Amino acid sequence: MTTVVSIINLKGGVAKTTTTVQIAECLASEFSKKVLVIDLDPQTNATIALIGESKWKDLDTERQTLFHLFHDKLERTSYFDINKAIQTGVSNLNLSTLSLLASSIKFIDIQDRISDIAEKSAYVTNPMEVLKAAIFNNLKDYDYVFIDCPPNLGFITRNGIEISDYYLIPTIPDELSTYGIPQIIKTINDFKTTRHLPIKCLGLIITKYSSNSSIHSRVKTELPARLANIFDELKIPKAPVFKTIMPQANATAEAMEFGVNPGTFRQKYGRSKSGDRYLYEYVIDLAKEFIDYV
Amino acid sequence: MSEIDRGLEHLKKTPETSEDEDKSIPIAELALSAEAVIAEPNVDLPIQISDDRVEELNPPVSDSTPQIPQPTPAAQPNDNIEASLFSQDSSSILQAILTELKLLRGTVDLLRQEIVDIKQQEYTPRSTKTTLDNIGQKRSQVKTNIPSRKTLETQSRSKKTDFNAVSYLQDNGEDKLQEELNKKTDTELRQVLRSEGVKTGKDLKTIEREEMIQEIISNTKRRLKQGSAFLQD
Repeated sequence: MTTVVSIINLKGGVAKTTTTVQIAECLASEFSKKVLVIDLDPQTNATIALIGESKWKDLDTERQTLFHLFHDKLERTSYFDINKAIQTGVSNLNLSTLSLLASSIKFIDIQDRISDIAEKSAYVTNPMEVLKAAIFNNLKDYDYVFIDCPPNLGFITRNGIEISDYYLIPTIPDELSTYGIPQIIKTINDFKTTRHLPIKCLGLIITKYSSNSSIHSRVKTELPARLANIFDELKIPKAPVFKTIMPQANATAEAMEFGVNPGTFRQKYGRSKSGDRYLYEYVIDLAKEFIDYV
Repeated sequence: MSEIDRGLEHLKKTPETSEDEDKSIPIAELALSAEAVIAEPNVDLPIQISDDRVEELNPPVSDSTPQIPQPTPAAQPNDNIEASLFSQDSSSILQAILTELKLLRGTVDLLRQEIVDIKQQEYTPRSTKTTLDNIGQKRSQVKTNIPSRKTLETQSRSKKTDFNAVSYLQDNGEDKLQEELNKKTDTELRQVLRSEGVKTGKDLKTIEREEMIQEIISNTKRRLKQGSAFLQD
């Protein structure tokens, strides 16, 4: 049974991509799970972190990025082939069970035109089901599929929500990063109702936590109540704040560099400690908690 | 004059020839000598052996044979006594006393050894390892009870309260929150305001109790509902 999870937050820089890559690598490496990462973010950060710039350039030349999937629908071409586009054995950890569907920076050029797909296809293709139509038959090959969404709730993100069983909200525990959480939950809930989707909130992950920040400390203690209040107001089932709190650590940024050869998962996320624990210990705890909740 | 000296003096005065006179040696005197030997077994008793006895023990060698001086073993005190006494052809009583003397000497030796052993036990210093272990244990006990410098600094600096007003409001509602705040002292209310960053410094000193409660409630409601404007259609 495949579980599809979208990683969403309206605010940029809250570690959506980092969280996606960390959990995906951890599940593939430490739990021997078959994992697919779908990079829907035009920033292409998950793609670069998992296959590097050189490989991405090859895929872009071969027209095998997700940009080309949508571009084909707009231009009525058919270059994109899902079986060619899915890259297996990705990450600098050479994980045979980790795969990637790459993004492209060219997404920025077409993201405002995706609604035109319906008209271009004579209303045969729903612009929110482009991804679903392309990948539906491949999803069964994986235990977990993670979708790294852009920091908005536009058509591209909705393509991810359309095929997701859950969505996760990574957030820095500060005022601005948490401000949009009610909006995310409400918008997805409305979309779910309209489209009759199964998607549920899996929870909220606190990222980039700085223990010496009084604001981080205060917001961290308030978040469970605030999240519960949102679910109460919307009258939908509650979701937890993950107990595992991802720390602000230089090792996190360093681990996203594809060009280095880190060796093992624990070496990749074990360069330095945060508090008295290595980063890989936090990631493993997060992955365990994730498995418990799904 | 000590007992031993008197005993020895008596032995010196003992006649050398007469067996009858030998028998006349007072037993009490000999007993005193024996006691002295027991008390000081290693004393070199200057007992002189009579000439007859010497001749008996060392028969004269013929003149034709050159006499080679033989090294004589060092005479032991007891041997001297025995020689002296037997030279006097001592009675069976004396022999019994000498036998008893030997036994007593053996006993004394044993006692001396025991005394030495006891003294060694008394003065043997405690094992260094044990002492160091004890010091280590005491040190760790003391160290455990002393809070670390970091803890002390944190305790002295931290005046945060554990009360989470936002969670309390979400779980119990506004009325219960007001009741809970009414139970708190002014100091605790100031701590809540300070921890939430609502008021600091002079503002905290001058603010009235009722105003503090209202500030906490309004701020808590705002925090709990943060971003909820987006929930409205």
